[in-house]
Amino acid sequence: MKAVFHTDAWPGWGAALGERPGSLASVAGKPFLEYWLEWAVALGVDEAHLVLGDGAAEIEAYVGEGARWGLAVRYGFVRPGAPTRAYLRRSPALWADGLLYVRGPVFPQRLERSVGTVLPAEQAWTFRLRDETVCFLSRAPVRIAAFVNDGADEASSAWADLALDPLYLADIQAYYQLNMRLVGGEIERYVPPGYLNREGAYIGYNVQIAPSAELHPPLSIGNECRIHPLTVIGPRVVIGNRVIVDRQTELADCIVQDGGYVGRNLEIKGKIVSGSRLIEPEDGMTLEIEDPWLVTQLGVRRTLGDLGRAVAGWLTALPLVLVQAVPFVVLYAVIRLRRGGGAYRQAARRVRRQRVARLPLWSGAARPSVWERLFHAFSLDLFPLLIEVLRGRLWLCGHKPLHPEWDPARQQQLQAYFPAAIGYHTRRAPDAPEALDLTEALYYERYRSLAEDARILGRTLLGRLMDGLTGETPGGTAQPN
Amino acid sequence: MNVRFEIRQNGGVVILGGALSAANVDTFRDQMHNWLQDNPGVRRVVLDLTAMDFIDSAGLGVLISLLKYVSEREGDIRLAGLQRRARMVFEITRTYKIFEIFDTVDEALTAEA
Repeated sequence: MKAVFHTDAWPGWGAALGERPGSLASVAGKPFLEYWLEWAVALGVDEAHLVLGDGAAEIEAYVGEGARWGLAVRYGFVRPGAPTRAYLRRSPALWADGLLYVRGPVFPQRLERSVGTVLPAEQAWTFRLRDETVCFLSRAPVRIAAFVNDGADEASSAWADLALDPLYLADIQAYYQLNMRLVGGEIERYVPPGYLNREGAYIGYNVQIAPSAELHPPLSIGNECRIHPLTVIGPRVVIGNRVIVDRQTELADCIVQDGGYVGRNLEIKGKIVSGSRLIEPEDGMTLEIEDPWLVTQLGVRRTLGDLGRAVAGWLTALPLVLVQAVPFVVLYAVIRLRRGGGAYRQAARRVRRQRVARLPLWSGAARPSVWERLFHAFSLDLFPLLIEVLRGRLWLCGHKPLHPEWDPARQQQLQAYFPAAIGYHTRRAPDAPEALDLTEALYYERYRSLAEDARILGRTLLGRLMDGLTGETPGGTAQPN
Repeated sequence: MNVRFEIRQNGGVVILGGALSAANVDTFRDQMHNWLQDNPGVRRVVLDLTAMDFIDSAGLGVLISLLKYVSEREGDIRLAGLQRRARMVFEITRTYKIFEIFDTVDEALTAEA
């Protein structure tokens, strides 16, 4: 059995939510299209075709090859203005053994936890919106052929027999109400979001909730969120992934889309927050907030500031390399001659423009000699990485370069990645928990600036020098692991 | 931003039009201070925001500072005719708890303190 999902036929409310494609809009903590894919899985579909429109790259990046759902996912496009079923008609034989077809925001609303998964032969289920069939399901070849060829026979069996009641989300109000209903309890009928469900509070992974924050279920909080002290969340709140809710803010009856920042001491009730936009669900009225300290989208876009950081980083790395060159050659030669000390190893890492390169990473000795302490105190171990900065492969300050295979999850969590020679990790104790990497990476992504880079640089170079003078053990290597 | 001042029987009315934002809050603050100094008898000030289509946090800040200024002179500031978008900003920032907000200027002028 095959499934065809059209993400290219989304009504205007998808655009009101921001630049993300409507099919990735959060519905009770999960992107809309996950509900399609889960339905397809329940029906035994082995291959799903996503017909893409706006935001194609983002959808493809999210779904990938469908391995997460155990599906083979294929992608396709249709010409604008092509007949509704043009995609199906390209290869009609492909759908002969069963077809689930959905066009636009048709939500597979479940009436019970278990839905019909065995489809009686000869039957077909259709859901029409005005003159158009937006959802079709059948295993009967004749019915499928008729549907693909715009045949007249589109009489539907009762969806209720499958414990389903498809719902077309025509406007933002329908989208909001669906979210509120799901988070209010109906989400139990689906694969629930998050990994923790405590009395109606669905919490994703890597969520930090301050002890003084109050949670009033029902609510859903996505992955990678930060809920700051004295906040009051709920009831009936849907918070997407990677959201920060700042101190003393109250949220109730609202939806916060992925990557949102909700500032301090705010009170948001009965609204949808999408980036820097507030939406009134009743009529879709939107308000663009220009003050980023109220609500904003967390650092998704590269800004002019990034260009400034790139230039400033390169100009700073140049004198550092010139100053370090001679001491590096001398001290490194001494360390190598004495043997048993630290050494460089070539390690594959993701560098700028998502390329993979072999970076020379310093591995310090367990018991560093005086020479090695000096080498570390003057940050000479960073010298080869500073060369990489001059070559344009790394930023001067930024994220710890990620391993191409070990860190794909972390890579996905970062919307902007700045692999760098120097970062928060550079002066960290060797036994610091690895979880800090993600926290620091997200922090840098949000608060990166020239001033922050200067702080990292000063803290690293001066801190290491002070450590060396006071006899502190070198705080780890330039690039642990 | 357009500002018009009127003196009525129960107080003064300041009619604001356009946007009250970081770009013009200083001008507005100066205009208000001058007008209040020229009219020391005005205790009740009603800001008619019917034609105000945008306000940001700097705009809210200046309204709060004016409220403080007028309160110290034993007066008060009331808001009238707040449009939906501006009302949303007042709601999410909790500023609606600081001001008395009325639907019309007449209500704001005549309501008991």
